[in-house]
Amino acid sequence: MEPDSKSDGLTRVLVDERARLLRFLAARGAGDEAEDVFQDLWQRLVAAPAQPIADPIAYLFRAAENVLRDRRRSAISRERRQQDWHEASVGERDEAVGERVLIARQRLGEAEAVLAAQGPRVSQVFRRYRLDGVGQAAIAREMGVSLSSIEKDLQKAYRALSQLREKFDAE
Amino acid sequence: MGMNAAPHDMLRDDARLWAIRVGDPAFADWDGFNTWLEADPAHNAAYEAALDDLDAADALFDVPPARAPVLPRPAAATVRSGSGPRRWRAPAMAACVAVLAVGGGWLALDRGSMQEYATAPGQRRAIELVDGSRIVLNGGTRLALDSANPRAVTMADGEALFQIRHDSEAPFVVTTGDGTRLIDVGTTFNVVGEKGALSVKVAEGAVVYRGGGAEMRLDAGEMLTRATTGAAPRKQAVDPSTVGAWRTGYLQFSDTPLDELAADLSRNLGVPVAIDDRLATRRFSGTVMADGGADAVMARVGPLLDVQLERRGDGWMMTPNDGARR
Repeated sequence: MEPDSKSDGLTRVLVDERARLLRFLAARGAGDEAEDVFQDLWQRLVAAPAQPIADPIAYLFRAAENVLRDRRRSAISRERRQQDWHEASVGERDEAVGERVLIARQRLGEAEAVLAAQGPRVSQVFRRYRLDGVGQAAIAREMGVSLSSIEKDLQKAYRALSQLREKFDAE
Repeated sequence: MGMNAAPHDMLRDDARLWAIRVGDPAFADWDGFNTWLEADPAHNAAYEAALDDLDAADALFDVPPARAPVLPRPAAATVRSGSGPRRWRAPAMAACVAVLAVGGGWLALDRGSMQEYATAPGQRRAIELVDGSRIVLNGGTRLALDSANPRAVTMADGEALFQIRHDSEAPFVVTTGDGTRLIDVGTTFNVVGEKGALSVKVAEGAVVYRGGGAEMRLDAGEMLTRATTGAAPRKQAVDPSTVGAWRTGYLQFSDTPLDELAADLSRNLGVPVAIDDRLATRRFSGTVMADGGADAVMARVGPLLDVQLERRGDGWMMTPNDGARR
């Protein structure tokens, strides 16, 4: 049909699914800003080049999730910039930076030990997912297990790493 | 899980599982996720805490390699030597940096510590950083530098070649409009980002891609393409000598779909180049000289690609070279 029928199609789905997306945005904590976020989403989709999209609804939810994360991330980085500015004016010594790198290396060693302690499959799944960038379904196929057991392995890995971080924070 | 898991721990664990599931680019159970979120207002807070928790766990692995060179070494050598994890993030290095803007006629907006640079289509500019690093912006590109963090750049869209002085303690990080992070482990790489579509080509050294929960290392001679923000990134080979060749006026293509080639032409020439659907899947390998103005370039490109190029409004239209026109 018309060359831009794909993007037209997507914005039509966006209009049709407006109520459902607003409900999701509200449940994801957008609160009063749900309408703003929806506008943001609309603008991104209109600006995006037309392309075939296999599952437009999942695509829209993913895009909505990304908009929310971007907003949160930029709020956090605004705070962090002010903090960095404070550190810069206080003046961080080179030795302090070196020491931090040293601590980070020790912690990396501990993190790898914690992963290894979760068993070979958990640490392999974690590596394939996080370091090699392989999708969860592909890892499940590779290892001949179900998607939900891959999810559980990742949950186990992240749970153990979270406990390790709590230990670090307490130090 | 545990023997006497408190409700709080169970919620944390549920939220962690959702964060892991949603983090996968192929996640599709949005209704299930929504139902869980709506069941209790505490769920979203727990989910956001889980996202932070996952990021913090990931950050444990972002550490410079253990053998920190005592003397500065060429980045390529650092990259090729040794094994083990080579992923790291800058330990927030705060220092003062001056940005030397070269040439005029382009936009530099100052927003607090953020400096924004933009080029119009067809325009090119270089930014020299005081540490000797250099960023060359192709046409139609917007990026922002933070003077409070000189090793970080945010690139909204467009194309830029990064020639980065390597510093193993403070890697250079490019963040694209959708939050994808490219962490420079080496030196020279080219980035094209437009509305979530991304292409990264590495000429020297290495770059770590991080986006959508996925992480991938690219070495010299490798490129990554990703169709959209949510799509899985794909890795393939690229001739390192062609990376960033647009600066010389020569555009190099290697099995490049014509629609991508048309986008490259319009970025370099500053005129819109539309393409007939029938050509979108055709591919081209070779070199196009992009100097001498749009008219001259189009006159050369038509026969080279075996297509018709005609003026259409403000821009150009690329159509198949069918018998009717010969």
